[in-house]
Amino acid sequence: MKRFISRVSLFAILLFSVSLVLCEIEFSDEFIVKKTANTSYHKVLWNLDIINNHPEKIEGSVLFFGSSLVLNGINDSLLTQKGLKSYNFGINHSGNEINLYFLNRLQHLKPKAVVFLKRKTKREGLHKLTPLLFTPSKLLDAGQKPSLFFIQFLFKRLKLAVEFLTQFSDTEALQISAKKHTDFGIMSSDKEVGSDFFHSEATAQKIKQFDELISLNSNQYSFLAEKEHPQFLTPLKVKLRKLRVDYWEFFDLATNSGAQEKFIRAAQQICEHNNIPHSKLYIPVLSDTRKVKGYQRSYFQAAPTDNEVICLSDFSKFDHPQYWWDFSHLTYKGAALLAEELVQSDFAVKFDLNQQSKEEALAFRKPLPKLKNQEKESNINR
Amino acid sequence: MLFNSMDFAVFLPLVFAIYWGLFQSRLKLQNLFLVAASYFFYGWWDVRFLSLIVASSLIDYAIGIGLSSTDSTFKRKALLFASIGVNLGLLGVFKYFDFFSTSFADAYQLFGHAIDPLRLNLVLPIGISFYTFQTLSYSIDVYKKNLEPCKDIVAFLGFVSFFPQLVAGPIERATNLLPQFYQSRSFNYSKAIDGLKQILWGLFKKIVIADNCALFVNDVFSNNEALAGSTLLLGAIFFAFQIYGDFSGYSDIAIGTSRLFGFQLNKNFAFPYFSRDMAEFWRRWHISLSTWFRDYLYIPLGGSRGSLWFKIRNTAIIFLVSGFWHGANWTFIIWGLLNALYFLPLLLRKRNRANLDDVAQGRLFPKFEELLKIMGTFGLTVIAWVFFRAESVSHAIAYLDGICSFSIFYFPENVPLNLILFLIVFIALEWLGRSNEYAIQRMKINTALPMRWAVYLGITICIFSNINNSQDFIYFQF
Repeated sequence: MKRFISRVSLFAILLFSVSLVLCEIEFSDEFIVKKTANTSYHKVLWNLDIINNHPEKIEGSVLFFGSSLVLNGINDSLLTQKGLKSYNFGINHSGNEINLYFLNRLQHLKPKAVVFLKRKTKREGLHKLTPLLFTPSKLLDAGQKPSLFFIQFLFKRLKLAVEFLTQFSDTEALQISAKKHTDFGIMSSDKEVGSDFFHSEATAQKIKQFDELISLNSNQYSFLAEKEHPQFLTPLKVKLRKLRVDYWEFFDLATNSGAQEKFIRAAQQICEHNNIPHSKLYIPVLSDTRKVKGYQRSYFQAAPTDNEVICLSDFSKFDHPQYWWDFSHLTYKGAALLAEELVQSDFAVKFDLNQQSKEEALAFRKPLPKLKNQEKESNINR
Repeated sequence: MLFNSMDFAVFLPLVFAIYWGLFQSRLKLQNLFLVAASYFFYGWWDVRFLSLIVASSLIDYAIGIGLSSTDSTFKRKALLFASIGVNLGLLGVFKYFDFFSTSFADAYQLFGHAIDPLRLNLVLPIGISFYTFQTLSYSIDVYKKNLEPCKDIVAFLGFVSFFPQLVAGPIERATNLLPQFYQSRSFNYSKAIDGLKQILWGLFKKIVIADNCALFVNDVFSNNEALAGSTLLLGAIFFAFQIYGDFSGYSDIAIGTSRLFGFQLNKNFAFPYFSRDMAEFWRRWHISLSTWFRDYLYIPLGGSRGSLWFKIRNTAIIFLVSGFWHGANWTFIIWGLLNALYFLPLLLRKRNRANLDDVAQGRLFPKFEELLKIMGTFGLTVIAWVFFRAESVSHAIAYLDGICSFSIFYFPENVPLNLILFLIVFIALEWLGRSNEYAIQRMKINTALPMRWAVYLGITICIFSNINNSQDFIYFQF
């Protein structure tokens, strides 16, 4: 039995070592694009294309990173038109490590500034693209701990590595993907939620629940509604949350939030090392447009430590169904309104939006189609 | 739980550690623990069906005791028929009732009257086709006095519910498996390593070959009208490998797992796609089922003795029942009858035992004539497999019609080239290991340990890298 156990253990160690070596193989951009071509992440092609083939566009531009909130909400073509040369690098369901990946790839291209999406809640887990973009050593280097998330990542990375080594060339995927993209990165929808949905009681309830969920203040540990209407389990729930917050590193094995925070810091360090100004931008969600009675945090309020977050003071202008296609994503019109508001706010001052900038921006601008037409052309899969 | 799941990956080492760590050479405790583990394994699927397997086991155990306590022919026959009635009755109710009811209603409609068929809509208990046949074989063997009835209830429950082979075979004979529950088992290093290797090979066949073929096959069979004949042909060929990889892979995992616990199960597949004729194919494919039908149905019916029509009848019955065993659908019946049509010429010309040895024995390559025979036999099985895979008879006919068109000369579409690479490697390994119980059992490699371990590592990595394409085992539906 001892001999059996020692042989099996030796085999397991060898297997782990060989797997790690395979996982360290860097994938080509062609493979990355091929894997993301017909998925929600086909925007990766656009991002890589601009980095590899149009680096001149990045120099002197403001780059926006983040999730589908950025992908849909930041109209870089309009911002450029208004004098702030911008490009939207958003990727659906983005994790902070995805921002870190692209930032790493373009750090030498001298962008004017980098703007990250500020979320209300902490990011957890790992993005689905992470096994495709990161080797194990790079992910650990970026701040990931050897947790269950990392083990799951290794399995997926190994699968991709074997596929990469045994693949045959496939240019069709690249051609299909290339057709979907415009000169700018925004990929918003013209589909609106509809007035009935927008004003219904069910929507109001969902907004209330959504806002309750993200109104959790880690210093208080309890939802606002719980404080107003406590139930007999409420003290227990509050204590468990306090435990989770106080020992977040332990629970981090179950959430990976700590690693996600480290990815943000790593991205900030890259910016500092390359003298790239960086900040965070808060993009509203539907619940921010309404002041729900009794809730203090019905729209984002920057905490004292968040003084680098750019946030509009009033989101009430967005309170119309034409600006939303679900609870959190802006339509093309919504993105256009956000661009207008940003240009008139501190955002413009922060990025020194003046006449010279406008002229420089216009020099790079290609003729933009009219608003209605562009809604159809840029109606790309979310 | 599936063999290729995380649940089983946790379950097996745990059971293995407790079995050998706590109960080494303690027979009764080993048996008791195996029964508990097996019921836990079965109950993981659906705890409701535990009562069914327990009840079926207890009934046959009691019948076995009853058969040993009387010499009256009438009483012994009555007990035997009771066992047959209970086991086939269970099968009939859960598996075939709705089929017969619907078929009756369809037939009645031909007379111009429409009736609403009575449907029970019962969920098919997993493994019912396997364990009912297993307990039936016990009752019949005890009746024929080929086997002493089991007096140890725990051993009997263990024989029926033994988890490695419970849900998809091999269908074990009581004469082989039951006595192993009476003998004390000690850990054997060679058997355990052999078992692990067989599990590894089984997982490779299932996860790398079968599940990857399934992705292509599912696409092709669901869009057959829009695809070229060449693509349809490739789809049918891939299905042949899918079902072989799936079923023989499961059998390998079952046999390998049994070895880990000191049990020896019967071989269920012997490289059937290297067969030179259909008779050889049926000696090598799902051996436990075909021998079960031979011993408990074909021979009692008279076998191949008697007149020409007698032989044809018996052969047709066997293949018909075999098809029917696979499922309550006309496609399985036609699949069975097709195989009967393939087999009959060999039987009638007395050439059904022409190829009893391994093909190209002692040689690396087959002769040209042998190669032609292998490809011809494979081609016949592929045609029959179309009926097995299709959703209906009309679907199968449309599929075959699509193959037999001018578009068979077109280049196939969306061919997964990396899968073809895996298949080439797989066929090569199977060919090189065809004289073994499973392909990688005794690899003849010049450099001993390092090269063998490199192959095992490569196989394991391939398994891990394909694990996300997981599909259900095909034979679980039976």
